[in-house]
Amino acid sequence: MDDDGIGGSGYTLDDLSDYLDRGRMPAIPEIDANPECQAVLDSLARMSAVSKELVDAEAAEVEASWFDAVMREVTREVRAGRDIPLADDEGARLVITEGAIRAMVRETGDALPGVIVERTRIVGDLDDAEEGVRVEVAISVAYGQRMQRAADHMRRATADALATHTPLRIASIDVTVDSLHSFDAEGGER
Amino acid sequence: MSDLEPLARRVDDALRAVDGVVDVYAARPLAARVLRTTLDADAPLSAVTENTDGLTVEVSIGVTDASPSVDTARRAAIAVGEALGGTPASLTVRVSRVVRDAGAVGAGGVA
Amino acid sequence: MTLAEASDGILAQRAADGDAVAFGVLVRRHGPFFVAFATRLTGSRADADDAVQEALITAWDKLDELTEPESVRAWMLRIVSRKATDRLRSRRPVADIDELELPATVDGPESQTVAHSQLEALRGALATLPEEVRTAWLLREVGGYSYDEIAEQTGVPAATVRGRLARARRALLDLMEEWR
Repeated sequence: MDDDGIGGSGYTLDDLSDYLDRGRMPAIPEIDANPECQAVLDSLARMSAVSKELVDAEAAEVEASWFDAVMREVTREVRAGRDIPLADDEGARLVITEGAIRAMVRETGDALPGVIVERTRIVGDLDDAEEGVRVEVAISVAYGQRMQRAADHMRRATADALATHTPLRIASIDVTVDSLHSFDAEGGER
Repeated sequence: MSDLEPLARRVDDALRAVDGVVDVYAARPLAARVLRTTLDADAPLSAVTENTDGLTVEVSIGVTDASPSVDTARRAAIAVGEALGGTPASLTVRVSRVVRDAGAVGAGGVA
Repeated sequence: MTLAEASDGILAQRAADGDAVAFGVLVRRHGPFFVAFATRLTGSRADADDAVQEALITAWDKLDELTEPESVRAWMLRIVSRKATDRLRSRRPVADIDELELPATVDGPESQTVAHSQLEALRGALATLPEEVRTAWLLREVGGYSYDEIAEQTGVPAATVRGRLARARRALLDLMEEWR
């Protein structure tokens, strides 16, 4: 490499490397206008793109056993959350977990047309029967469904499920439509 | 605790026979998380321990959504007592899952 | 309703709530790419399999910490890189590149297009780089991490990362020239 840098620009490959990483800002005319420098930058950009392709192309199938090992571990860590008292019968303590209730709310919502449940929350002191708890649900609604109606549906279905399965006093159920979704033939929106 | 294992198994079996119970889960979270260890597939799920006061029992169940959880949990508690020949000194019945459209016990079919 | 088509953002929120099925969809969707990326980084498919498994289990534990559910893929990739580079750091230096497992390349002049031969050329070139240099390149160009992030993951100062990146670029430019 001669002292005048690449193509006589006065900038070395290291300099060009830095320039590239800075997003070519602020612009350096001596580099931008120099054909050899541009050729080098183009090569670097091309290699970057090919590297990404290389990894994508090699995204081989992972074996079912590999996937199973991950899921086995994952399903072991049950997110039970807090215990919610159901009853205390002659020394037998009966409880339902927060996790069970949240999963139930989630599945209740999923069964409604055009609704996918995103997050569920139970907020409040579970032992204080007087105070009541707030339930917050975030849902995604399919395009074409009426949002308000989906939210009302969700609220009613949630209230029913909670009444059947918990003794909690429900102060309020807040349903938020957090997003809209559509499914296309290719394999869904991302 | 190997002499309590048969009791724990009896509890597991009794739970599965309860109307409204669709699944029995491990009562205590597993102590060690190590990749690729094989669980003892035959180990009982319910937890039965003993101290000076008597038996301490903890169970975790999945129930059908067709019946109020408290009712199914009550039936489960009674069944545990019967399986052990008397109500244990301490018993916790934990409903860890409510399964939609599960119907009666034995109908299987997780939604 | 099938979750298989739901967006990453929806899946991440459900998984954070404890929905293992939703997490499973994320694993199926992104797992193969993570394994390929980790294989490039570690040079070993077996190590990559392990590193990605550990990363995914860690991700499941920490999903609550994810503030932008839509970015779950990038967030998980970060954990994957960390696990993979941890493995690199704990290894003894690989002096001989023959010790690296290179995925089998497809030979056959008839099937080779220019694009395909470029991929192969780059694959070969990357394999000849010293490990820390290749790591810097992959984390920057495929992972998209900043110097500081790479520095943190590899346990060296940002200036060292910069030097390694420049070295990778210089070496790759030379090598790719030869192959052309």
